[in-house]
Amino acid sequence: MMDEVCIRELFSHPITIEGLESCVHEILKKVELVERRRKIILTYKGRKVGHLIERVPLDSLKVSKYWEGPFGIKTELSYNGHFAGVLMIEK
Amino acid sequence: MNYKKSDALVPVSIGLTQGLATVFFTVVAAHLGANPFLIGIISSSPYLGNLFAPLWSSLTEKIKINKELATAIFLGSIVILLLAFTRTPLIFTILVAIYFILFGVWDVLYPALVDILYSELAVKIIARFDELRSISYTLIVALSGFIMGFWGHRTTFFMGAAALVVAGIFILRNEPKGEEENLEKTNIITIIREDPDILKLVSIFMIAGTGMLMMLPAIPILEVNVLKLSDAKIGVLFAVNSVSYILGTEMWSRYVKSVPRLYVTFTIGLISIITMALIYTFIPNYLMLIVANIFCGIGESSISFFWQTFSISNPDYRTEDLSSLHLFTCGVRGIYAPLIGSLIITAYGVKANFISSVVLILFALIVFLTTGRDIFED
Repeated sequence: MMDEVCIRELFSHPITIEGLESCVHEILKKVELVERRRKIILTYKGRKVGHLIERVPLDSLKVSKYWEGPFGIKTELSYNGHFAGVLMIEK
Repeated sequence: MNYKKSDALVPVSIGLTQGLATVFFTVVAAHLGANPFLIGIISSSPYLGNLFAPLWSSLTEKIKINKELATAIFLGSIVILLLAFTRTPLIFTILVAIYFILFGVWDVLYPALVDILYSELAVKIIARFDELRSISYTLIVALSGFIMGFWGHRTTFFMGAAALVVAGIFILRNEPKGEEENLEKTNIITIIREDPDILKLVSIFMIAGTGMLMMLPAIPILEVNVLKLSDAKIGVLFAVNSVSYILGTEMWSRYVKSVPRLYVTFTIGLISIITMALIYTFIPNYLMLIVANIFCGIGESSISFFWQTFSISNPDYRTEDLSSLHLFTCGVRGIYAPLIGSLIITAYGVKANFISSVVLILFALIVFLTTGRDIFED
C-alpha cells in the first residue's frame, strides 16, 4: 500500500494531469530500480509498482495516459514523446 | 466531461445500427432457412473483422483516419441495404461477412481517432461514448423486434443503414489536427511467452470463451426454429441481456475493492454463463429464457470487467497491449468456436451444443479455482 501525502490529495479531488504528474514524480523519487529481463522494474517498499523499458532521467518523464481502476491509477509514462514505462499509483 | 456533443452522435448512431440490424443477423438468417453451418459463419463474422485490424491500421499512413473510418462505415451501410433485400441464405452470409470485415475498422480506428482529438482525456471519453452506444443499443433493440414484427426486417435494416450514414457524416466532420501517437506495439506473443501468469489467464479465457462462443449458433436456432419465438420476443431478450450487462458492470465497479473480490466476480461470471446454458438446454420456455439472458448479461459483464481491471492494474505491460492481446485471442476463438458449435448442432443437435459448452466452461472454472488465483500476485 502506498502511503504518500500526494496520493491522498490526488484521490480527494477530481484528477488532473498536472496533479497526477506531480504525484508520479514524488513517488518516482522513492522507488528502487531493479534490472530484470531487459526491463527496469520499479519497486516501492519491495513491491513491484511498474517498469521502465530503459534507463531515462526520471524527472523528465511525463504522464501520457492514465486509467482509474479499483486498485488505483495506472499511468503510462513517456520520455521525449515515446512510451517509457508504467507506474501504478495504488490507493 | 469536455467533449463536443455532436461527437457523441457517432457512438449513439452505431448503437442504433447494432440494435436495428446487426444483432438480428443470425435471427434473420434462421428465418431465411440458413443451416447451422451458415449460422455458425455469421456468428463468427464479427471476429473476422479482427483479422483485418493490421490492414486498417496500415491504411492510415495513406488515408486520413477519419476518411478511412467514414468510407468503411458508408460502405457498411450499403451492405446493410443489400442485406435487407437478400433472400438467399448463402448470399446473406457472404454479405454479413463483408459487413463485419468493413466494420472491423470501428474497433481499430475509432479509439485512435478519439485519442487524436482528445489526447489525455481520450480514455475517459472512449468509456463514456461506449456507455452511450450501449444505452442507445439497449433502447432500440427492444423496439426493433416489434418494428420487425409489423414491417419486417427490411424496415429496421433501412433504419440501421441510415444511422450508419449519420455516424459516417459526423466522423467526416472530425478533421484530426493532432498527430497520432507513435505507439511502438509490443508483440503480444512475446507477452504470453515471457509471462506465465498471463499465459495461464489467456488459457482460462480461451477454454471458457470457446465454450461461450460455441453457443452462438445454437441460440438463434433454438429461438427461431425450435421455439418459434417472434422477432418482438427475441428483441426483448436482447434488451434484457444488454440491461443486465450494463447493470452488472455498474455493480462490479462498486463491489470490487480488492483482488479476492475480483476473483469472486469472475467465478460468479462463469457460473452465470453455465446457468444460462443449462436453462437453454433443459427449460427453454420464454419466461426462463428471460432469466437466462439476465444471467448471460451478468456473466458477460463480469468476464469483461475482470479483463479490463487486469489490463489497467498490471504494471508490466501497457493497457493497449493487454487489450490487443484480449482482442486477438477473442478473434481467434470467435472464428473457430461458432463453427465447432454448428458442427455439433448438425451432428448431435442443439442440446448437445449447450452441454458441450457447459463442460468446457466448467473445466475453465475448475482450472481458475485451483490454479488461477495467484494471477495478481507479484
